[in-house]
Amino acid sequence: MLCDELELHAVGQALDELLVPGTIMTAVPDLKAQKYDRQLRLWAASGQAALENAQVCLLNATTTGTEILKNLILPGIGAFTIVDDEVVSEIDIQRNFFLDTSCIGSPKSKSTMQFLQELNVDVKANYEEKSAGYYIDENHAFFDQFTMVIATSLHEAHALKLASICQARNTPLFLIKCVGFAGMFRIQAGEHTIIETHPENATDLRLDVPFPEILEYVKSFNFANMDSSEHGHVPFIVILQHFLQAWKLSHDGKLPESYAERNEFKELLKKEMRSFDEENFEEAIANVWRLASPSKVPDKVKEIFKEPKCENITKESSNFWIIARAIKDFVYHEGAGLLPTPGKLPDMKADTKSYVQLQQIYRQKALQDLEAVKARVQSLLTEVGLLPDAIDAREIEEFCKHAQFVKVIRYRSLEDELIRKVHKSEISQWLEESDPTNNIVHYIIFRAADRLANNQIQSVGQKEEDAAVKALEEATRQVLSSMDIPQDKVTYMLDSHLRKYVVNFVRYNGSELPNIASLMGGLVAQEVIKVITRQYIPIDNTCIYDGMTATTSIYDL
Amino acid sequence: MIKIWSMKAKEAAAEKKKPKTSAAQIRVQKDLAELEIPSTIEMTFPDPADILNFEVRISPDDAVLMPTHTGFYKGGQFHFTFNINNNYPHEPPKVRCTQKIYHPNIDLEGNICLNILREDWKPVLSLHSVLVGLQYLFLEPNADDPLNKAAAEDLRSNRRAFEQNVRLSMRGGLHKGISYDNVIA
Amino acid sequence: MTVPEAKRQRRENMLDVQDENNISLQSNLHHEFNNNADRVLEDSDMIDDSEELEAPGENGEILPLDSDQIKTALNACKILVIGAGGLGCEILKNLALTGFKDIHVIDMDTIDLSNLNRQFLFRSTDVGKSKALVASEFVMNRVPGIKITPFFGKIQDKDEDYYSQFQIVICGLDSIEARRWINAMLVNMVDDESPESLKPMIDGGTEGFKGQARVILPTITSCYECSLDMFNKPNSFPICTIANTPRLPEHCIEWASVLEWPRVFPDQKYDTDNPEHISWLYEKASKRAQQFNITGVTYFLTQGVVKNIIPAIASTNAVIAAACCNEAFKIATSVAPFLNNYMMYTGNDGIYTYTFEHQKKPDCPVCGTIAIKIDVNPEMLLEDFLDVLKEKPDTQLKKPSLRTATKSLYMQAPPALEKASRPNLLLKMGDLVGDGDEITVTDVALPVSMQLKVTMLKAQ
Repeated sequence: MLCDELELHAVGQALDELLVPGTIMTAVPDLKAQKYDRQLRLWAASGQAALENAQVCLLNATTTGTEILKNLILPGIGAFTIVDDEVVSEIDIQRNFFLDTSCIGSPKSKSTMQFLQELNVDVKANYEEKSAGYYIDENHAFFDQFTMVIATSLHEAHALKLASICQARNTPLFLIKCVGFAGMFRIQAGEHTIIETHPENATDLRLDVPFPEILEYVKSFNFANMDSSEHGHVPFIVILQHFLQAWKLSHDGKLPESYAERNEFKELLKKEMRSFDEENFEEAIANVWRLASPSKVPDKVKEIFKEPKCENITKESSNFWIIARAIKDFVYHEGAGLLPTPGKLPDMKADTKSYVQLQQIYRQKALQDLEAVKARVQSLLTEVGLLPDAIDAREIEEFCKHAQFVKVIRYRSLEDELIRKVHKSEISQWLEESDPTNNIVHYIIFRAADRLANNQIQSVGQKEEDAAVKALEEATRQVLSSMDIPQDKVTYMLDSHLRKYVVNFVRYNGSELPNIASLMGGLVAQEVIKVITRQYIPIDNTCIYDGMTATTSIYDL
Repeated sequence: MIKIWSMKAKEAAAEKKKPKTSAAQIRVQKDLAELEIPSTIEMTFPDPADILNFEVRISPDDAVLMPTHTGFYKGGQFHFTFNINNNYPHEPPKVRCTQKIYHPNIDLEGNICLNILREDWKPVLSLHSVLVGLQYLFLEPNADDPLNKAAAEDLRSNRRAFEQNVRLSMRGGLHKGISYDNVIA
Repeated sequence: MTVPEAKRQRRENMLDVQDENNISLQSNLHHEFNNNADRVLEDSDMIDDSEELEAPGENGEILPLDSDQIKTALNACKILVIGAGGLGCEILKNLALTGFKDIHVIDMDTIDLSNLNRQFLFRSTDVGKSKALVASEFVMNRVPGIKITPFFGKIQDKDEDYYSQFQIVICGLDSIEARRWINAMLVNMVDDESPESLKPMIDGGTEGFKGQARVILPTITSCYECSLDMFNKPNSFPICTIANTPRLPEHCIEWASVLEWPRVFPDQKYDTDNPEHISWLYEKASKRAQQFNITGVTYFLTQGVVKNIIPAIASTNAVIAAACCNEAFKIATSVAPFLNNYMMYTGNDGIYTYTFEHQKKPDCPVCGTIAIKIDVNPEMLLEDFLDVLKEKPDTQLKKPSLRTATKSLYMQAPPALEKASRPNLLLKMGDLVGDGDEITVTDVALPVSMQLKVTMLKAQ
């Protein structure tokens, strides 16, 4: 019977342990691991730990705001605080899922907090009945406790102030606007460094510069003496290296360099096939194109190496920059111009033994490179007066594994966007692009609307609508002019295609559409998670969604 | 839970249902009705109304098929079951050999190593491709990517011995402690 | 043993192999779409027949969002939600807040602990209960003035009469099979003479940070079946690799589940929800991995491979569900033009959406079939009925094969079926089919098939 085959299982193992590959143990994951199973497959235990340490502040419990929180509470952020000084109205009930009729007249911050808290007992919840403006204007220290600030429906003036508060604290800030079919959000997160960008195709086989251990291993294959089964199970990397060595002998020690030469080399491989469909040889032929791009440090990584932060390591340097510097030094010394080997081998047609041996060689090399980098990290740490083990070995390992794809994003500040270094020419150019997925126009309208008081752009009857359209159109004109667009052109733009956006914005009546708020809630939460976990690549820096065309556009504003 | 289940049963009973022809059934009907297969492949339908489940008998003894082949399996009749689910042709048909036979690409449990039955299946392929592929296994057993490793090793190292083992096994003989099914027609 | 061409294509997809002069798969796909463009134009006149599907004003201006017209339209729209899982919970919430008043929801599943990281209408005390029931009750309690009718069961339990009561169907499903079924049902229901028989189907799907939302106007635009080639079937490894040359931890896990389990328990299929079964597979896979020096077999991975787990997060579900509901809102109210017809979403590297018109496939086995209503004289012999079909000038059938959903009327091949169905040729149509039955006709002359809807004439 089945039960006889089973051994008893320990329940309640730590999540970390379960995710370490290669360990053999008998364990059914604990309840928490089960609950978060579907997301752990995306950001693993390290990402989850980062989420659980996050303290998130939401300013204004709008529908968009609570939808964002919902998507952060479910995956298990550490804690959230809702700041809102309004009381719940009839309209709120219709639009916000995290309120019901029993909440009418109660503080919105408290009611939404209570309903949101139900979603996940592991998340700590707080609320403040004061206005966002109070903290922005009068109590900056309030923001010290948060690792992330999310603000919906803030006016430009408050947004600017909040942005500088967050900038000073190195706290990532998300600013969101959502009206009718239009939604927009902006990230200001200073310098954001990512080690685990999760690229889709990350193969680094060093085919053009095989390390000696591989060449040594290749020598152990005697192609002529193999039977058909052995021949059909030589890993394609071995096939390539074997025949590349032969090629080099007859080509002045050079690899097939041109397209024509690579085709010639493919033909050569074809002739070596024992049957017309020998899979491993087909794989070898299909991988010849990789020789076209020689192994090197990618330009983007070189740029990172050139940054002053990488040059000047101090006690205050973040782990990212210390490891980056160590790897840079590695490249110029042990690495002989190349990054540490990631050590990952994709699956290929091969017998178990050859594959595992080849995998071992790549892993050994990766381990060797890692040790060299670790030593460099330790001496860097010692040099600046820190303990040599101040950086976790796992972090160094992750960096080495993903060195090709690490990324640094420097977010422009909101102050630069709106006042100091406005991207005027870029914005005017985007406005002229006729691409139907270009949503920059909503940015202009949102900013125009911020120039008006709320009641100026509400339409109750036709007369009010006309007045509101006129006011918003005038404000739009001002925003466009501030981009140094000439008056006649502004007029032309308004007449030709911008007016309908103005009219529609007025008809939205300042209200959030539940679907668009929910969609924005998804987009923003996703980007918040990326910023918190430092995994995957967040947008830089503004995303605009148009629900009429179902399109998003990204702008660096 | 009891309440839920009774509710489900009640709702289901209230439905008057007329069965619909599924996209999978349409596709199988087309595959079958336009099938042109050699006389060496014979299909039987235990329930002619059900075209998703049937049996196939392959008798790889027609010299006309591939005159150049040695025909290790000549004289045998090999039985397979085909089970097609409603996700066809997104998913391949499930095919098993119902006899215990000695073959490099078919194991003793009836699993078959044919790429288009698993990793290389795609919707443009049809029952015709599967039947032809299956028959080809008996004309050209592949010793290099085996499922029955012992049989494959025999084929690689000693074709003569392999042939004798095939003959023996097909008669229902015992080889290396394994008793095979008699498949002689 | 391999069929070489099939193998080559799979490998190219798997290994990210490209040839320098190869065009990408993606561009091939679009090329194919464009080739079919004229086909859609032919059929698109149907849009004009149907009031609620008409696109709004050309000037791009919308109705005020609080207008009575919008409220009335939403009140009049009965909408069906298929699936009350990750997308379904979001969809129900959104529809309720948008102002849909009469919502139905179908789901056959019960709540699992691993649902709770995104299916926000469920609590840990709900584990084991019906998703459809719990979700409906939750949303009705939260949002006043709406009615949600749950059905705890399979979509296949319901028939055409049931589906015809709705104006819009919105799907948040996790199975291709269920999508194919409802798609075929809705395409089949379209009656050219009755515009209301055409039910727009909005379909969403997610996988990790990616997803798609699409609008299907059955028989008018590309249907789900038209795009079947775009979806990857679950990864599977060559069985000989699993048996003899394992290299990856996944190979060891598949060995345990595909070969070892059926060998040890020939009469029992493993249950992926039973931790004891998963543990058994994990143990076996671990031992095999050790034996072959393969690292990386974990319980977590075993569960992932055996259950074919697709990563799922709240945020992607929110994006895709909202995109779907926004299209439902636009279709129901005509407030703005709706999506034509496909939106792909990728969120792992920045945010990227791609909207395009997926083209109809002329030989689609669902929407490419010709549907014909036919009067049948019950006294006519099947043999003569076949001749009638062959003589129809517009189809020019050569060797038609005929089946109903449950019966082989006459099959031209294979011989066993031909023989078994041959006696039917001399039977009367009235004895073989009934009023309202559908006969599927396939023939070499037809790209796919012809569906004959039978109206049985009174016997004379």
